[in-house]
Amino acid sequence: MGTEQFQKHILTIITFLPLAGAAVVLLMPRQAAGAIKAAALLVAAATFALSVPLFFWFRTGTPGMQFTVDVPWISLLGQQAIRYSVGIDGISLFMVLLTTFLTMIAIAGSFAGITDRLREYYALMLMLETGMLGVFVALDLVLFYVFWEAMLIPMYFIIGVWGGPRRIYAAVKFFIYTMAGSLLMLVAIIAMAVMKYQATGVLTFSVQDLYGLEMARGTQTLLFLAYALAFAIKVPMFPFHTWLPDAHVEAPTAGSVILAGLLLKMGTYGFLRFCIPFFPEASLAFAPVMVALGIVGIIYGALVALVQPDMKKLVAYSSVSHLGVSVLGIFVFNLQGAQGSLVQMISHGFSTGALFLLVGMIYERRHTRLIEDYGGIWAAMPKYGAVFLIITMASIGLPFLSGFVGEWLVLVGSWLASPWYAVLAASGAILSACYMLWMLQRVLQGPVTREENGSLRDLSFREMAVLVPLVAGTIWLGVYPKPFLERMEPSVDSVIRIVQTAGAESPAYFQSAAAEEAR
Amino acid sequence: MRSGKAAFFLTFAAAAVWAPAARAAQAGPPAAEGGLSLQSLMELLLLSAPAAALCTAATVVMLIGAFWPSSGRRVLPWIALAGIAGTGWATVAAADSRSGSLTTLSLDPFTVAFAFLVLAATAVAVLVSVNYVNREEMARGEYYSLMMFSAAGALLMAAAEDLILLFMGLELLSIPLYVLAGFARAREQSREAALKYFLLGAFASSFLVFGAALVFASVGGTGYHQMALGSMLLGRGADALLAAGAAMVLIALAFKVALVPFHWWTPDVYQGAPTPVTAFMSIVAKAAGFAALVRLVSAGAQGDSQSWNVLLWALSAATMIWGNLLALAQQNVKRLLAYSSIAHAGYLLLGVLAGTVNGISALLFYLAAYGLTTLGAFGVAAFLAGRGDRLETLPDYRGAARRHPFAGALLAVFMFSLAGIPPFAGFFAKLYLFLAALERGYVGLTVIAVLTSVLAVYYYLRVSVVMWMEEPRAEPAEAAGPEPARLSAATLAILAAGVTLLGIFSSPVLRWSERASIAAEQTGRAVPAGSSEMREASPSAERAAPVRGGDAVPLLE
Repeated sequence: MGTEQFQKHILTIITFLPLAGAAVVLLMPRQAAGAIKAAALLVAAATFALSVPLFFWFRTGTPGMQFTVDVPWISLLGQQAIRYSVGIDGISLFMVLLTTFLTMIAIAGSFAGITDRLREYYALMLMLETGMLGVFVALDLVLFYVFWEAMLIPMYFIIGVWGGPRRIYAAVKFFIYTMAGSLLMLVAIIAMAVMKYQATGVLTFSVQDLYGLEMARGTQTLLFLAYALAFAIKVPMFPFHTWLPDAHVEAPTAGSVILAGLLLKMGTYGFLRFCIPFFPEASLAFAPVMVALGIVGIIYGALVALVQPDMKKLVAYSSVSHLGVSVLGIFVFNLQGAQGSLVQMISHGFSTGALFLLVGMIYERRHTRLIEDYGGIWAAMPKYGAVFLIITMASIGLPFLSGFVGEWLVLVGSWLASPWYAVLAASGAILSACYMLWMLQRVLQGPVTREENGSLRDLSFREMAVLVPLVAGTIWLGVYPKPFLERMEPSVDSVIRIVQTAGAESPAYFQSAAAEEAR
Repeated sequence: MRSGKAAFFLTFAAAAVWAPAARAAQAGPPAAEGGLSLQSLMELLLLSAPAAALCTAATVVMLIGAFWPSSGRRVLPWIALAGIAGTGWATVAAADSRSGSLTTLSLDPFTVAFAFLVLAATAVAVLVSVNYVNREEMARGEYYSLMMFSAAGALLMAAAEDLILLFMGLELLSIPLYVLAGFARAREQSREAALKYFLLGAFASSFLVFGAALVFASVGGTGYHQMALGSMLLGRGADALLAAGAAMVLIALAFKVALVPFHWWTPDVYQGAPTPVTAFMSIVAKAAGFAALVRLVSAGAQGDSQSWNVLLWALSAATMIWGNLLALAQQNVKRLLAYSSIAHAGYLLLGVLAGTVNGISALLFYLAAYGLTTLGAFGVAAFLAGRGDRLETLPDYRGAARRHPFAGALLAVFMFSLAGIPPFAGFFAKLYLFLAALERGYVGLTVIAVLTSVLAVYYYLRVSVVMWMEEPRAEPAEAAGPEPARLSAATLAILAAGVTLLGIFSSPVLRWSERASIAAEQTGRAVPAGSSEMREASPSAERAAPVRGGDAVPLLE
């Protein structure tokens, strides 16, 4: 295959390579544990390696979709209604890269933790990767929905089979919660296609064709709510977050990494890709509600994290708080906010992924996740302490680390919308410093209170190899975010522009904006 | 084994003989006007070719089973399959040579599509049965033969355009099923199922007969076109006799496809009947009922359809809600699947209600997807139950995937498909059905369908939860059983592959079901008032012309 051919089909190859890998892993003999792990890692690494060129081949300065493939898939009513249509823009580019990167890390990170039914586990991890990549590259709503839901199946098994003591409850809750939200979105998807069909006679589910679909205000509101519910559950936004702590705490380490690092991003990605461009007026109308829920999420998540005795639960609630920042950034509808939101998503993928891995690593040594069972382990595990410190700092938004860039941009954006938003959101950042540093202090510093903690093994080479790329990622994104920002800017800008245009055209919004100006 | 081969070909030939008969009939002079000449009798036989061929094959299978009892264990299933294949061939040949319909019976693309659905389902049911009936010591000739007779009844129901023929089809479908439900005579549950099914089934049949009588009293005939004409001429709800008659017919069919509130027999019968019989009945009886419903409703749609739609709406909503709610509480897997099949009848009714080409096509696709899935699910259940069908409850399934990872994976696939989760066929079936329903503006009903699917997810997940996530209970020795025998393992694997691929590659199936639906939608229409009783069916493309506007079928008619 020539480079050109490869470039054209690269997204398809990346998306389905893990699925093919999963089939291979399933066919391997059960006893060959080492070979199974190696094969799974190899497939994930190959997928990552193939996705890296996307970053370089990606043309900056254009908002459109790139690397597109669009072929008929299913004909309905004599029309090629459902299409296999994929492509990426500046928004999904980073989601794809984050997915291939974190899946590779997560697979390498589960070598020690997973000892039972290896074949099934690694095959499911690879299937999960295909599902997630599909969500981020799909440009046809049916294709998108297929990946969006199909991905639940492997995650459900990963939590339910390899998880902690309450794994079944957590897995079923995760599945049903997400499913409940998405089924209404399915109705909304079909309804949009039907409206388009009745208006133009063309039956299509293509995202591009459905942008700018004319609809009555009431209809738009209902459809917006159907989409928003699906994404809000996925993010998860307060008050739809209750599945998250259960799923996170019960999932095996790699499951948590993927959940926090990637699955949650599908919610915010969904807002940016579908909800807002499809329904700009309704998005504007509901912006105050979404902003409020975002801010409540930031503060509530942080406060609950503050009092968690369990490290994993603490990290889980910190995700609610960090994703709140992301939602806030999207719904203030300016470039800074939206870009910040996207950077926050990437940064959160690095830092929270690393935090779950770190928690998992000491759990494998001591089989407890309670903060009170630790203390002063820095002395025994200096490498561990160093990584933990860097990641903590990234998570609370120290300058020159990834968290800072995202949070700062979102704060700027929300200040532009209303200073109050910024003030409230900033309080969340302060609280995050409290719970993270407090955990750091109680776990790593102080006297060694328990005998077992004095003799803990420091990080092995494999564990360092798993963590160092994440640390490198946080530093790169923090020190030199330009390559990221310049790639995402045109696409993010075009989404924001849709809303701003709609706002300018919509009299109600115009009046309130004018009233604000008069004040 | 020479006699085995001979029997094999004999059965195939017995069914396939209908094909040359079809050609011969076509070559002959056109039917004489009026009267029941030999020629028009030939036509009638020709148009009933699918059902007639299957009946012939079933008779041969029964005779072989009677005179060669030892064939029951190994040879007979293959002979039955030969008969089914022969029927398929005869159907195609007959449809090719003389695609058309009398006013009582039609051999249109809908009949053919439906025949293939039923024949495929019957073939799979036979394959799933082999290991089971051998294990349960009920491998007798009648078993396969009864299944084939019952399927022939289903074919007749789908082709019928007259209430009397519909009644014949219904009886031919049901009576073998009553016997099959009680086939595991040793088990009390099975006997109870047979009796219960028979009593309630007979009751439902009497509704159909009485309904037909009322219709006859009102419009002077029992043909669908007469009903359609009657309801058009008499106007909206003007004639109580016709309305009451049609309602009674609807009740009889609702009983057969298990719509709430006519579903009470379902859980007991599904649980008590031998599992492969349950699998067979869950798809074939349901499909036959829906085929008849589609034709009736399409015919009726020309007249007063408003009040019917309200009725169907309510039935559909009640069935989806009640079926799914009760399934939540089930501990026995066969009962769970029984309630799930009730719920699915509610979803299928969405397609009938939409009534468009699109809706009927979605319904056919749904039946295909549901058939594959339910046959597979019951097939796995039949295997896991072990000798004597002892292990049928969810607690019995605990940790079963550790002993049988293959069966566990297959059952998980079937459950996800039943729950309508992509990429499995069940999802695509729901997608097309919802699309058809939303086109006609049934938003409320679609939302009910969606919300009840969330309930459904819970109980379908429970099966995979107990199998994969719970630890095995204290090992009962006989439960450990062997892996599924090679034949049923292969059948189930093919079904699972089908469930996975049918949705992803649904275009060919959709094209085919759309063609069939265009024919079904015409039921009871445009009966030429001229001399010939024979209504010529144009090739589907031509027939499509009035329906297709431009390059698309209009959404709103």
